[in-house]
This record gives sequence, C-alpha cells and structure tokens, in this order.
Amino acid sequence: MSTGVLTQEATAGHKPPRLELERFSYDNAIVRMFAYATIIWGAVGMLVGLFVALQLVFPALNFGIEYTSFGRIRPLHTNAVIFAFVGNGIFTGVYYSLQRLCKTRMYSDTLSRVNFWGWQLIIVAAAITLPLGFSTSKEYAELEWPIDIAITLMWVVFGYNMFATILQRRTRHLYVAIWFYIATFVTVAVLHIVNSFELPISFMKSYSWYAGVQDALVQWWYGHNAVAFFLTTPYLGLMYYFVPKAANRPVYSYRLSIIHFWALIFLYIWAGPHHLLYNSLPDWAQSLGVVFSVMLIAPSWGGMLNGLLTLRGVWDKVREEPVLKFMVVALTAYGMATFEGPMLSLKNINAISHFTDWTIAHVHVGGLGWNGMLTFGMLYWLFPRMWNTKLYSVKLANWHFWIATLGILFYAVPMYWAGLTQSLMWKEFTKEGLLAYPNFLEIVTQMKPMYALRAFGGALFILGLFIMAYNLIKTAKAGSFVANEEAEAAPLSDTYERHEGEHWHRWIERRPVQLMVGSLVVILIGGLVEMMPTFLVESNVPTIASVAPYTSLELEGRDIYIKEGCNNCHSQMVRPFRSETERYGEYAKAGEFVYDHPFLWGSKRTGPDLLREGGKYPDSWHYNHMIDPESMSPGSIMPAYPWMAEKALDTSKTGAKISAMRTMGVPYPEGYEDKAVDDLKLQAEEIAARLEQSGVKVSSDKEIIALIAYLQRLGTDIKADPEKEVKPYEVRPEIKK
Amino acid sequence: MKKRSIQYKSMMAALGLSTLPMLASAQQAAGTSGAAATGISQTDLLLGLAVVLAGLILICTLVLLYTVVVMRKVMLKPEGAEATATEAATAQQAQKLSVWSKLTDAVPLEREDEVMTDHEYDGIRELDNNLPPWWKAMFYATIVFSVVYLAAYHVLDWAPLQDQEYEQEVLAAQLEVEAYLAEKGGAIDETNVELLTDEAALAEGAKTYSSYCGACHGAELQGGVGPNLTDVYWLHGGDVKDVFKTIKKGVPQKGMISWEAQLSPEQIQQLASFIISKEGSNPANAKEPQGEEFKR
Repeated sequence: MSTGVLTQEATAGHKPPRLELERFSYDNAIVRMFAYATIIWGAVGMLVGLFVALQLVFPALNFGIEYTSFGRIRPLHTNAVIFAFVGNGIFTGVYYSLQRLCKTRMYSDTLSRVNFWGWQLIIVAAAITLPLGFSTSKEYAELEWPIDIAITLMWVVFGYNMFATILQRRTRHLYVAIWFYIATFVTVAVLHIVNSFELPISFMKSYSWYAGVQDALVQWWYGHNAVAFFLTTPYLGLMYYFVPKAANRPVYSYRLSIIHFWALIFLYIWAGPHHLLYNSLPDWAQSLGVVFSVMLIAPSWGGMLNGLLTLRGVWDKVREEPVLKFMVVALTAYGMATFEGPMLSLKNINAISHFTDWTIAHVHVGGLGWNGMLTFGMLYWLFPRMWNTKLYSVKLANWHFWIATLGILFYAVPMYWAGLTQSLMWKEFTKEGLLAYPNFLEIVTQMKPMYALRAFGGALFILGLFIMAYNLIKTAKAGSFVANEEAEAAPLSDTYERHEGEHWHRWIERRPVQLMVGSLVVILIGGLVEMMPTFLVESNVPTIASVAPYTSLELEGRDIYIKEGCNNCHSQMVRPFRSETERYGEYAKAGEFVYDHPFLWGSKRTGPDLLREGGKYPDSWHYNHMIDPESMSPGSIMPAYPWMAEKALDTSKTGAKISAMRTMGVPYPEGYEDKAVDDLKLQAEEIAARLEQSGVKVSSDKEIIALIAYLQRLGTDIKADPEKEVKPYEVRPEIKK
Repeated sequence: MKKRSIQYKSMMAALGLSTLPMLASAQQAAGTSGAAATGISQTDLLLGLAVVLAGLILICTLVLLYTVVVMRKVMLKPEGAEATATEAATAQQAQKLSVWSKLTDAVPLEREDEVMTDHEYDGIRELDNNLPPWWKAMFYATIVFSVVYLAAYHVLDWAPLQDQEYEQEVLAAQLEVEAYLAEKGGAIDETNVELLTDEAALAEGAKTYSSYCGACHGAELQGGVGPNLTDVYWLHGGDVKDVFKTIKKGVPQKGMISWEAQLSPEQIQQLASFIISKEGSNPANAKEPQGEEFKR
C-alpha cells in the first residue's frame, strides 16, 4: 500500500511544500509473535475455564489436589483469558495498526520484544503462582505484589514504545483508534497502580492497603474498569482499524467517534459501584454507580453503530467474508452486553441478578462474543496479509464462525436460566413466612444440568478456536512471511496551517500529549469524586464499638481462606433483603469490615454466604465438612480440603502480619507481634480440645484449626455480648488506650 | 443458499434442545415449591422486567415518533400546492429512501461524497454523518433519567434508601404472614405442641430428619457430632414441648442451630414426634448417654 503521495495531498488540502518520500518498513515479526501468543494463551485460558466449569458438575475432577481445586484455578482462568488472551490480542492489533496509522515503524524493536517477553513471563508467573495459592483475593488482580510491579514495568514499556512511535509519526492527525489506545494506556496504568496498593509482608504475600468498604470501592472501581479499559476501549480501537479495513468502507461518522470516545471514557470510570448495589456501600455511591451505568448505554452503542453502519453498502460482502461475519457478531454482542450491563445496574434487577450465574452469562456474552469474535476476525484478516497469501480455507473459517456462535448461545442461555432460577429459589417464601428452600444445597443441585450445558457450550467455543489455529497455521505454511513490510511516506513538515472549516477537534488530534493529558483528567474525575468522600468522610463508614481485630489465629485462618480462594464461591455480604436476613442473619453493616484488609465480600454465591457463619455450626461440623463436604452436606459440589488437616500452619510470619496490620491502622497494641504466636497456640489448643470432645483427633498446629477459628469468628462481633468473658488471646481495641 | 438455510435450521434446533433441561428443572422446582409460589421474589422479578420493558418501550416510542415525523415530511411534500415538477422529482427520490436511513439521518450512499472528510489514515477514510437522532434522544433520555433518579433518592426523598426499603419489606411480610396465620387459626408453638403418633406424621418427620439432622445426630439417631437421641437421657428435656423448643430455638453455644427459619412449626412437631418415637431403638455405635434421665 504505497499511498504516501496520496496521503500528503489528501490530508493537507492546500498546497504544501512537496517533501521527499522516506522509505521504511513495518515490523510484522512482533505482530506475529503476539498473534501466536494470543492463540496459544487463548486455548490455555479457555481450557482452564472448561476444566473449572466441569468441576462444578463433577467436583471429583479436581483430583483431590490442592493445586487444581476450584478456588485456585478459577482466578487462573479469568486472568488467563483477560490478560493473556485478550492482552496479547490487544498488543497484536495495536502493534500492527499503530505502525500503519502513524506511517512509521515501532519506535524501538528492542522495547517491542521486551514488551512481548516480559508479558509472557508475567503470564507464566501467574500460571505458576495462582495454583500455588499466592493470591491477593481481589478479582482480576489476584497476582501478588512482585508480579504487580512487573506488570507496571511492562505496561510502561508498552506505553513508552507506543508514545514514542506516535511522536515520530509521519501523519499529522491521530486516528480515532489511537485515541482509544492512548486512553487505554493511561487508564489501565492508573487503575492497576491504585488498586494494587498493598503492603508486602514477605516475598509473595501482601495485604491490601485499603480495608472493608473502601477496599471494596477501589476493587470494583478497578474491576469494572478492567472490563472498560482492558476489554472494551482497546478493542474499540482495534474495531476502528480492522472493520473499515476488512470492509473497505469509510468510517460512518467522525463526529460520532468524537462524542462517543469522550463520553465513554468519562462516564465509564464512575460505574464501578454497580458491582456493590445493596452491599454495605453508602447509598449515594451506589446511586452514582446506577446513573452513570445507565448513561453509558448511548456512548457504548455509539461504538457499535459506528462499526455496524460502516458496513452500509457492503452487507453482501458480510455474507461471503468470514472476517466480517466475526466482526458483525462481535459488534452485536458488544451492543447486547452494553445494553444488558446498564439494565443489571438498576437496583431492582441487580437484586435478582447479583451473586447469581446471570453475571457469569453477562460477562461471557461480552468476553466470548465481543473480545473472542473480534480477535478471531482480526487474526483471520492479519494472517493472509502478513504471509502474503490467501486464507487456507474459507470453509473452515465459516465452520469456526457457526461453531463459535453456537458455543456462545449454549453457554449463555443455560447460565441466564440458572441465574434466574437460583435467585427465585433464594428469595421464595412459604405462606407461613418461611424460606421455601431453606436448604441452600437444594438450590445448588438444581444448577447442575445448567452447569453441564454451559460446559458443553464452552467446549464448542474451544473447538472453534482449534479449528482456527489449524486454519491459520496452514495459511502461514502456504505463504511466505513478510517480516519487514516495505512502506514509504513523506515526513511531516515543520509547519501546519489550519484550513478553512476544519473541525475544532482536529486541534487535539495533532497533539498526542494533550490528548493523553486530556483523557487522564477525564478519567480521574469519576474515581476521585467517589473515593475521596468514602475515604475521608467518617459518616460513610459508621463505626461499631463491638467490632474488634482478629486474633492472630483468626488472621492466619483468614489468609488460608484467601489462599484457597473461598471468596470465589462464597460471599460475605448479607444484603438487606428479608430473604437474606432470614437465611443468613442480620444484614451487613459498613462498620463490621473496618479491619478487613482485603475485603472479602465476593461477587458470586455458588455456595451460601458466610458473613454470619460464626457459631452456626460446631467446630467438628466444620472439620468434617472441610475434609469431606459430602459427609455433612450430601450432594455438595464443594471441593474437599483434606490437606488442611495435614499441613502445619506456617507461623513464621504471624508477627510480621500483625505489624503490617498495625501499620495500616488496625489497633493491635505495640509489641503484640511478639506475643502473637503464643496467643495463636493458646486458641488453637482450645479448638483442638473442643474437636477432641466431639471425637475428632487433630493436632492443634494444623491449618484447618486456623480456618475453623476464622469461620467461627465471622460476623459474630456485631452481636457480641458485653458480659461475655474476654479470652486471653482476644484483642480488644481498648487495649491500645 | 440452500446450505445456509440448513445451517440456520440446525442452529435453531440446537437452541431449542438447549432449553429442554431447563424446562425439566423448572418443573422440578415448581414441584418442590408447591402452592406457596408467591413472594417477594416474583414482585422483584416483575418490577425488574417492568423496568426493562419500560426502557425498551421508551426507545421504541422515540424511534416511532421520529419515524412518524420523517414519514410525514416525506409523504406530505408531493401534495404541496406549489410543487413544481423538479420538487416532485426530489420528493419522489426522498420517498425511495429507506426508513432506516431516515432514522439514522445518514446521507445516502450515492451522495456520500458530501459528507466525506479529507481524513485518511492508512487508506481508511472517514465520513461525517450526523449523529443518529434516536441515538441522541436516547442519550438525552438517560441523562434526564439520571438527574431525576438522583433527585428522587437523595434530594426529594421520594424513594426509600436500602435500610428503609428493608424495614418496609419485613413489615409488609410480617403483616402478610400474621394475616395468613390468623385465618388459619393459631400456630403451633412450644407451649401448645402435642405428640403425634400417626404413621403419616412420623414418616414426614423421618424424612425431615434424614435431610437435616442425620449429618450430626447419625442416620439411626445414634449420635455423632450431636448427642444420641435414642436413649432416655436428655440435655434439654425430653418432653415433646422441650424437644420442639430445642429444635426451634437451637442451643447455639453447643452448636445446635436454630431451625425456626428453615422448618415450619408443623414440620418441627412431626420431627420431634418422630425422634421421641425412636426412643429405645438401640442403634449400633450409639454415643454414650448425656444429660438427665427423662421418664415418659
């Protein structure tokens, strides 16, 4: 495509001094590396997803090994598909399109490769550490602090390389795709750094700096905007490049691009609290989450419309060309998901959908439909071009298209059904005023056929991916790879004259730095307005006098809860609904969580809520239930945790953990870190003695003792009896005074 | 063409198949819930659906309204008294425009040059079509909604915040349940409960026992995590009224949970009667006696 001369004339409009054409080449090799990584990690991430999906139907599939149990593997699935599959997909598309949109090679081949290998190393580190149980528990941010730092570095490398490329461009104005890339870069950087603010205890263990309600707000500001700025804005950028390219049509509306870009990035950042509706978040913050989500419909649809309407006049081509088919389904899925999202943000709908499989269905319409299908379309378009050949088989690509589409339907429909059924069963009362399904397990077992069908849908989608991989490898084999694609363009002249009637927005399109600062300002507003009052105004988290810090044993037990990923299936958030207070007990209050670094409210209730678990069952029930859940709850799909009764609790860091907590404001008395392990043993022996009374013989130094201590403490402070004797190992805030 | 229709058919068939197990499970769910299928959940659901519907209706109305306006313009033009031949021709041409392109306010394909910008990036050109009017209307509508919503909750106090909403919900349910129980004529509680001996009631009790109690007290009531229920020794009294109360209220400090929220008074009565009927059944591996002897 040697449009150098043409470009010069087209962009300038008036008569510029004619400049000598410069010859250069585009780096396709880096695009190929990322494309291969996208396919490989896509397969891995989705297979892990299938594996955990099957575990919900056949719990024995974890083979009784800790490294493959659901709580540890589910974060591996989410991280792999988001950061490995989509992440590499972003880099593939950005590295290809950015060079061409800027008419220059990437600024530095070395940085490109550092970006590539660094990112893959991070993924490998995630794949090793998550099964080992190194987790912060914060969703889509489970990776521990050394990996967080590596991610930050790699993101900076990517951003630097991208920005330097933009600065050496040979085109005057930045295309809308690049606006999205820039906004993605700055926002992801802000999100990642703020949410990963944690205090390291040791190598691979840290505590979130924020506690309870504040941690929840930061986490879901991050979690929601990981969807917005990692899964959405970069892919909108890719859409703006690959859809007009594949359709060979002009983009439908420039002014729509402008309005939906700025509106989208401004509004998106506010919407996080919709993940915490009816939770212990202040009402005003929840309401902001609701209205900003609703206002997002139009800006989101702006992207879909600009994509779909670009195809005006070439719908006959969509029928023939697999690339366009994938893109049309991707845009449609995007439209559906971005309409459903705001609807789910309405409080009365959220009351039904939250904590159920409905959310799982929703994210997979977005994930499989929008990200998956757009990635596939992009790869089918890229391979023939980079290998200078034709696609090996259009027929196979069509097969892939239909199998993947069916896969999405088979995934989503049963999950919608499951979500609705769950919710209705949770909430149903008899005329006598009792829960119609008091036994939570009865509801869980109802879900099994849906979970099986969902696994089938997922398997179809993966089958499609393998068909694509085969097709693309065959394509590559048939062609010859163009590692350095020759191109030529004139350099930018030093002066630029605005011409008559130029759109005002062109001004910022010539100024990448201002564009970046502009997007940064726009995305900071929402986060600041929501966070500052929650952090600074005390009335937002009313304190409760009877809430005390965890004992050292309970704190260790909590870390085991985090390590095993219990929060992936169990919430700790009783919402203010009659159906929940009847089932679980008093609804959650913001002041209960002030010492919770990190918060553990959860986002999914595959098993029952645990906020008020303390004192509900005897210690021996918990012991038996953890060793073999089915012994206490026949038909349960919870994994067994036999290793907890075998592994000795590591108390070498207990002191450091206490010190860290005090640093963050938890009122452990000065010097308590030296006494913590003794207290821990005292309480552990008490529990072991109680267990022995019930016929369970287990040594007091095992992990399970700590977990039982934590579970028995959960949610009890609020109903604490002031007359009750204070055990010597208990820590009361007054001690500090 | 033929091939495509087969693809569509197989897709529809597959979709249909995917709903079958759901119907089955829905039936099961309906079966277990029995007649008591009313409650807050459905109100919530209906409310939710109503909101979705309202949203859709709003969008559709806006679209329709706009269509009417556009159609009127297009249709009425040729009837204008001073319509010259050329005007009639353009009107005719306008009529040919699809409703869709009117809805999007897009410049037709053949006149695209008019809105073509001079932008060009790697061969990608940009049109500058107008914002689709229905899209703009939707955006404005959501903004108005947001202002009204925030005002309703936080300025005008038209709508209850979540704590108040909870209180209202509980109060309404309480009244409803009281009305139901009053109509039914008195509820069974620990002061008036009587021992049942009929087969059917004991069988129901046995069923409840195996679903909820066996895990801790043993399948044969021999004891396990909890005490043996077949001997004559009782920790909290062996009279049917005592057993009823123990089940209903629980003994939380010893790990016996309260079943009040999960079992109806009738169920607790049947259960207590069943347990007492098993006294002296002498199961294998019975746990040692605990508590006071109770003479019936």
